[in-house]
Formats: sequence, structure tokens, C-alpha cells
Amino acid sequence: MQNIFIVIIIFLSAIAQTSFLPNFFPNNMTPDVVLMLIIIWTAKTNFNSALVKTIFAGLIVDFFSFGVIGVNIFSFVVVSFMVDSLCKRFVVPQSGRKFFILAIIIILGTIVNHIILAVFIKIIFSYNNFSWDNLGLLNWDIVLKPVYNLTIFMMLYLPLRKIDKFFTQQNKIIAKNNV
Amino acid sequence: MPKQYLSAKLIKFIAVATICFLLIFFNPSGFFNPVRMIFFEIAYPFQKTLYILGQNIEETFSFFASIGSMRIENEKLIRENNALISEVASLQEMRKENEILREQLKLIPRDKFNLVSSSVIAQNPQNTGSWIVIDKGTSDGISVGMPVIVSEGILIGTIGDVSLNSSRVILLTDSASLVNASDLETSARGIITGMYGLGIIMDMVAQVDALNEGDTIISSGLGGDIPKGLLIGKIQEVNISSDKLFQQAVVIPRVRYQKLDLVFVIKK
Repeated sequence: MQNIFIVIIIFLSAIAQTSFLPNFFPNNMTPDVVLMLIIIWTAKTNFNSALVKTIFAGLIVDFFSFGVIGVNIFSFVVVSFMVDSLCKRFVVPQSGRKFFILAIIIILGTIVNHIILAVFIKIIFSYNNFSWDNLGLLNWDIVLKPVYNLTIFMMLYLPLRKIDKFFTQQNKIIAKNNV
Repeated sequence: MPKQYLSAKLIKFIAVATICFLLIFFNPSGFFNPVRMIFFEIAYPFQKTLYILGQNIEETFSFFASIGSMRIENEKLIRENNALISEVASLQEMRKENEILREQLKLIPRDKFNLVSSSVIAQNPQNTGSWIVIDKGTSDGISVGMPVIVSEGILIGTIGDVSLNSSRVILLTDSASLVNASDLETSARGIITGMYGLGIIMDMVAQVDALNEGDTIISSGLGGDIPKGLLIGKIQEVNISSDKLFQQAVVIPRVRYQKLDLVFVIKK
């Protein structure tokens, strides 16, 4: 049941990212909703537990972005790996500053995702007229996008925690009944 | 224990990364296309509903945000309306002249295009190209390469991928988009290509040809399925290409691609 719910959440988030949010944000600046889900799941559990979700989410975004299959999967897996390593090192010992550290992790995750996609798509697959200026690394894109992603993160964090709690309780009840 | 965890994590990471690299570089797009088609069929109703909902919400917000400036805008519109009434009279004459010129240049009259109207249901959220998804596909006779226009014959792109009920339109601002174009005033020919969603350039224009700021760029009708005479935009700036062999012009499109809602596909 929980897995079906996760599939639906990823699917609807990817649709929101391509069909709903582009109406409100400037070109190429739509928040990475699916990436935020991956960061939340990895931060709450670990890389190994979030891996299947990460691969599935990457595949869905690859389908929706009409790009080469594997680019978003790779990018999400790298971000998930990075988030897990950073969370293990900083979030547990510094739990008092959890939100501040998570915010920095989101900013880093957004930048890493942006660079990986830009490098794959623009250097390897369409290198004609290539210019580093066009990557959006040296303009406001790189500042604004993490801000938008951070907003989406704050909007998603609590509902996802409630959903997780609900399923954890359900699983406990089922386990009790089985015993 | 932590060492064991780390090794398992690293092994999984390397394995997934290797598979991804193989997928990316061998790019078996044909293998995934049927899955993608089914996927888009499932996503189609959700995409359409959410896009329309998003547009309505955005319009409502814009409406409330613009209330303050409405009085000033109303006065401006009244002045503009008066100016336009006089302009209409002079355009009647030009309309006749335009019809004669189109006939002389053997251009298809715009009302004779076989048009399929369609709504935009999705846009590219990442900076991985410049495209939109429309709600018409193979079931409506749409095929790859067909030109896509808005209202008054303004070319915005061509069909890139088609599924049963939806199609992807590669916009002129996409770096993969290549359209033969010419300067309406000087007849200079070149190729229109995108700059990663940031704008349009007219490239490969011979040094001997004249390009001037403010000139109108239209499709030249050479090669492909794009008819001659579709409006693309106006030249903003003229430069020499990096190899100094050709001229390049920065072209300003006539429409804002992000605000598109209704487009027309020109069927063969």
C-alpha cells in the first residue's frame, strides 16, 4: 500500500513539475519537486532505503523531460548519495541546527543537479553553439532556483512526514494483528 | 559496521551510475519509446487538467495584481483604440496590396492552411531544451516535422515527438531546432536556431547579404515541411560569426513562448 502511494506521489509531482508549476515561474526556473522528494526521503532514511524511489523518480522525470533515459536517474542518485553522506556527518551531531543544515544541503543538491543536467545535455548531446554563459551558472538562475526549491521543500516536508507516520502506525497495527 | 554500510552504499552507487552511463551513451531510445507512449497516455488527462488549472490560477492572481493599474491602462487603451481606428482604414489598402504580393510570391494564403488547433498541456521545467506538449497526437493526424504556429501565422516550432493523444513541439529557441529562414526586406537567407531556450539566432548568413536591425524574418520554405512566409521575429542585433565566415543575427520572437495556451499545427 505504501509503495503504491509513493508511486502516485512521484507521478503527480512530476506532472505538477511539467504542467502546473511552469505557469507561475519564469522559463527554466520551475522548482524541482521530484528532486525535493528524493532529498526528503534520503534525509529521513538513508541512501540504501531511498535508492529504489530515487531510480523510479529519475526514470519518471526522464520520461517527462523527453530526454535521454538515465540522465535524471544518474543526477538523482548522485544527489541522494551526497545528501546521505552530508546528513550522516552533520545532521545527527548538529540536530539543533537541523533545518539550517538541511537548507544548505538543498542548495547544494539543487546546484549539483543543475550542473549534472547542464553538462550531460549541453556538452555531450548538443554541443553546437555551446557557451558556459548559457548554463545559467553565472546568472540569477543559480541563486533563485535553490530559493524556489527550498520553498517547495518546506511545503512538502510536513505532509510527507504525516504520511510516513500514518503508514508506520498502519504497519504496526498489521504486525500486532498477525502476532 | 559503519565500514560495511559504506561499502554496500558505494557498491550500489557505482552499480547504478554504471547502468546510467551505459543507458545514456548507448541511448536505446527505441527500446523505451513504447513505454514512454503508454506513460504519456496515462499522464495525459492529469497534465491537461493541471495545466488548465495552473493557467486559471495564474490569470486570477495576475488579475488581482493588475487592479491598481487598471485605470491608467484604461486611459491608455482608449488612446490606443482611437489610433487603431485610423490605422485600420489605412490597413484596408495594404491588405489588398498584401494579397497581390502573396500571389506574386506564390505563398499559400494563411486561411488555406490545414490547421489543427490544440492546447498546450505541459512545458519543459528544466533547462534541458525548449519545448511544450500539446493535446493532439497521431489520432488527429499529427506527425513529426509539422510546423506549429500561433494566431496570425507566427511560427513557434515544429513537432518533435508524437504519441496517440499528445505531441512535443520543439520551440525555435531550442538549440536542436533548425529552420530555413529569410530576411523579408533584403531576402538574405540563413538558418534559424535556438540558444538553449534563451533566444533565437539567424545563422549561416553569407557576408555579402544584407541584414539590418529591425528587419522582419520569415520562413524561407526551403526543405522540410515549413511553408514559406511564416513570421518568425525581428532582428535585434547583427554580428559576425566566430569563424568570420558568416553573419549572425539575434532575432526577437513575436510571441512569449512561456505564455502560450492555444497553438495551431499545419498539417501536410
